Amino acid sequence: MNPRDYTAWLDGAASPRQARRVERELGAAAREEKESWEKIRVLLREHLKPCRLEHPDLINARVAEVLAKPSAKRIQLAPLHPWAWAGGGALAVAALLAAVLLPSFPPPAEESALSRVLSARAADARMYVTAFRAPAGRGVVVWIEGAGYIGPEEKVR
Amino acid sequence: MRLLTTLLLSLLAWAPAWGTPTIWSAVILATNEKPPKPVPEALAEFAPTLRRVFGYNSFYLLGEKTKEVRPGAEEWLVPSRRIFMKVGVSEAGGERCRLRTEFYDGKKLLVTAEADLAEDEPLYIRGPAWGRGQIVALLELR
Repeated sequence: MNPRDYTAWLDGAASPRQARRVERELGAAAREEKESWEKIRVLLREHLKPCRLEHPDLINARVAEVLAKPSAKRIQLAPLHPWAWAGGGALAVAALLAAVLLPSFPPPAEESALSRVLSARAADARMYVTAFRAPAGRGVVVWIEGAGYIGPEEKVR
Repeated sequence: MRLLTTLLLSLLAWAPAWGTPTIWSAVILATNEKPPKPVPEALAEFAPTLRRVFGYNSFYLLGEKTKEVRPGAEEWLVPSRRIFMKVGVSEAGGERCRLRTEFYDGKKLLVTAEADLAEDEPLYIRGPAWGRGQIVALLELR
């Protein structure tokens, strides 16, 4: 029997389903058990009085002192779940493999000193685009032919 | 726990090495004038290439913009009201970056280009003609 169901049933706080379950398990003894518990409760209520403290003020002062003290509770980190370790390990392996296997960027030094156009595409079929290295100079050029004409009266700046 | 913390800190320390590239962009009007006009200071180092490639002798800086573009992000570079670019950096490392740029004349997309850009190796884009000159856009990794 679930002790939580049982105590809730004794206290009269059980849901109908909990009560049915407890009463089914206890069978005929259920009624007797509840009556004896009721008797105990009545007796306790009648005879159990709070005990007298000899120095109530001193005890209250000590309790207040303890409550006022800043808590020196140690912060404890929750232990890591094994899956977290597995995840961390997998991340480390992935980083290592990426560093070793992926093609390096930037490319080797002799290539990295120069710019290069990898692709250039006109948005309009009436335009023609070509790319080349600037002759005797630094840099690369994307040359658009047929990009249109802006009248001198129009503002560009 | 200590191992995991060390690993995470190492990764964080490694991250800034990837770098955030700074892209300088400019819009230039190239024209032929007699006598040639003095080259603006900001364009002095580009003038020989501009003359040679585009065949003009005078250059006006219509606007410039410098922006940091985080790898994986896209930014609008708007050096002028009419000519601007959208730039996205896919990789960056050392003194270079890989970028994808869209070049616009107003709302009209002209070209989409992908380039590996090295420091001191600008990308010139020949845009539309303007009056008797030519619009040229410049992108440089700084």
